Amino acid sequence: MLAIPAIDLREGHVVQLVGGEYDREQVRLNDPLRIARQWVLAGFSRLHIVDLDAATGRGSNRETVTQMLWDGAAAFQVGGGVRTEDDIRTLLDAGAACVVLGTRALEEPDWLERVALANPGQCMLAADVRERRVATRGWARTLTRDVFSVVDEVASLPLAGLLVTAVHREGLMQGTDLPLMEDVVDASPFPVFASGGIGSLADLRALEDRGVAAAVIGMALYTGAIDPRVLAEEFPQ
Amino acid sequence: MTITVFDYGAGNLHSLVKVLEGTGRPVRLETDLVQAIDTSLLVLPGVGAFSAAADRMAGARVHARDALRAGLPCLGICLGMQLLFDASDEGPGAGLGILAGRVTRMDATRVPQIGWNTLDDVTDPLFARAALRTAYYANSFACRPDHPATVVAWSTHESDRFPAAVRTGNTLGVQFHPEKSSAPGVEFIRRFIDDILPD
Repeated sequence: MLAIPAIDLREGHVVQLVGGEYDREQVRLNDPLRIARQWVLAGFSRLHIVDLDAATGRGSNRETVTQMLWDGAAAFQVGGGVRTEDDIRTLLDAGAACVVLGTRALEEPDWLERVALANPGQCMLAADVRERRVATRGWARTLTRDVFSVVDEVASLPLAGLLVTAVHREGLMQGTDLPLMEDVVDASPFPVFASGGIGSLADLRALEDRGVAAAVIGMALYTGAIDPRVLAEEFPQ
Repeated sequence: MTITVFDYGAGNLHSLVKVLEGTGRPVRLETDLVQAIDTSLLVLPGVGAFSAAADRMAGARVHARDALRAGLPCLGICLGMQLLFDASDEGPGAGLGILAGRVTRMDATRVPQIGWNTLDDVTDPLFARAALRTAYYANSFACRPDHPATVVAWSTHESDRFPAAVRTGNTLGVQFHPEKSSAPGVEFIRRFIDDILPD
């Protein structure tokens, strides 16, 4: 299983939110480019960027994202507000390993099919999940769709993977939603990336044991609950 | 027309079983290799370690080898492909020896290889028919066949060029995980089974 540090961007800063709520910001750091490089120095070769402002339509950190891609210190998967074919093309051309698609991909299956077929292996679908149901629009709106019906709908597409964020666990470092992740892995004909709630190496080992392909880790790395060097050493890069 | 997955007891086989069941044929899990080869198609799954799996095969290794040589269709995935060979640097124990050669650690700084990789020098038409051009890998070791002619597809991780797939008779071994390689990977499994187990 890969271990991937999260770089969540808000107003040009790297932040961490609790429970996916914008008024519960717990970490705020300057200079995202420097932070990306630090993760690489600690031993990570892949980073997960989310533009939180673009995801919620409050703004954009595209320039910062482009700087990180140009810097090329790691392989980047980039998401947050990626809603047009132009967005996808621009990010892939700038060097992103894959783009992470959320809201529009979930709301418009025809669009997801078109862009996934046009960019095989380069589109990852992100499902923010609360109690097994998928939420979109920066977590403000909860759809009533079951995550497993989403998996079935996209099973025929050449996706790079499915990122499942257990939003109700996010930023709490009290453990992931293991039963959810295990069931999604069982149901998915593509790699499953897990995030939300990872607080310890034991959480990561439990995810690996259940066949999760990669874990995206945020709060636990930014607060020092997990030693990045130990993490990068135990889990392959 | 039963498909049997040999269960070494090492991990989660649900997604593989789900894909196999999608072919419309009955699928069973079997922990005893002698029982497992009493089937129409044997699947050696890709979870666990070489020695532990070799240990589980030990008593029935010769039976299984003879059955495969006599034409029993077999699909080996990841570790399951490696078990088709003689031995592995991963640990002690004998593989089935259907294919001559050893399994060795990948010559790369990033090991295991986890992620998507392209397939090249593909000589088996099954890949094109399934539109499978990139595949999902999670492996630290790779097979080194004595006879490269058995290799029907290759991949390269860093500087290590290794067999992505081997075929001999009715046996197909793949180092990647077709059951996690998205729609084309699932199609690859389905077409292999449809070819080898015509209704």
